[in-house]
Amino acid sequence: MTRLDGRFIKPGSIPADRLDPEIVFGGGGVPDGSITPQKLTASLLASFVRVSWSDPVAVDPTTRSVDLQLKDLLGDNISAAHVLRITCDERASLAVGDQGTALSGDGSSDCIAQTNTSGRLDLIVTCNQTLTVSLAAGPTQLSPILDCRIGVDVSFI
Amino acid sequence: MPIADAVKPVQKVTIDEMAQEFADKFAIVSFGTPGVEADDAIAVTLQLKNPLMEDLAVKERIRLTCTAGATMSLVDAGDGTVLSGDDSEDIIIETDETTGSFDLEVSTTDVGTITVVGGATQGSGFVSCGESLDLTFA
Repeated sequence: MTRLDGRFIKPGSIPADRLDPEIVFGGGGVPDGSITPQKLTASLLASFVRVSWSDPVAVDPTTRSVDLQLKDLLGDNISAAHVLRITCDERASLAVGDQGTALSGDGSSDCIAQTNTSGRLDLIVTCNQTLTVSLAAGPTQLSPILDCRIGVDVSFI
Repeated sequence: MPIADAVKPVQKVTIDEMAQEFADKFAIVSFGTPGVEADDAIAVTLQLKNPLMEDLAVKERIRLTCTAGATMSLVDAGDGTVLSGDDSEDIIIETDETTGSFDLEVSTTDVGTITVVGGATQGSGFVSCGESLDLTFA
């Protein structure tokens, strides 16, 4: 408790006569320290990153392209560069395309890459065999809080 | 209006406001009470919880590692699936979609404490694995 102008107040509380006159009592007009579900959602959205995939596109008989896009919990794109680990069947290989940066393992089945600042990572999948290649993303060093439950299947059949 | 009413909105988010749908997007790995050791093995159930500590019935992929010298597997006819590394000290599992659980069996011929820890891996969602498990083999 703190003594202020002859009154004891709880830590963090402000006497009514000291509130900014533009602040409305009991409504949504208390800006500092107030937490509403809407504010909570807005502030947290970019902190929880979901991985989404485009539909794979055939480039040639042994090459497919597929794009990864980071999304928030509402399904909106996250515009930020984040690091991810991407793995696939060992009979195929992964390379980073036009968007994003390969940090290690480019051209292998286990690579670490960074999305571009729009949250996008273009991947080129190469496979000489007739099979379906499953791709999975996951967190690694420098990754944010990630939801990678959704993977993608790339068909070479 | 008393000052208490003026500050009421500050820092108040109720459980009702924190929608169930939001809470259920986050999984916390917890372990149940271990069973009795039998044939150099102890069974224990891994259960996913949400941040409200309610059981969370979702499929989640988790990497489990344990003290060297022990191995891990799924209890016979138990809930969940081993995706890789079965009967080793480093396995990747998937919880049962209808229960959010995985029935783990840890085996060793050693005597002492075996520690099991979980972690996020390829294909994991928002999962927290801060709780470890110590099993005592006699």
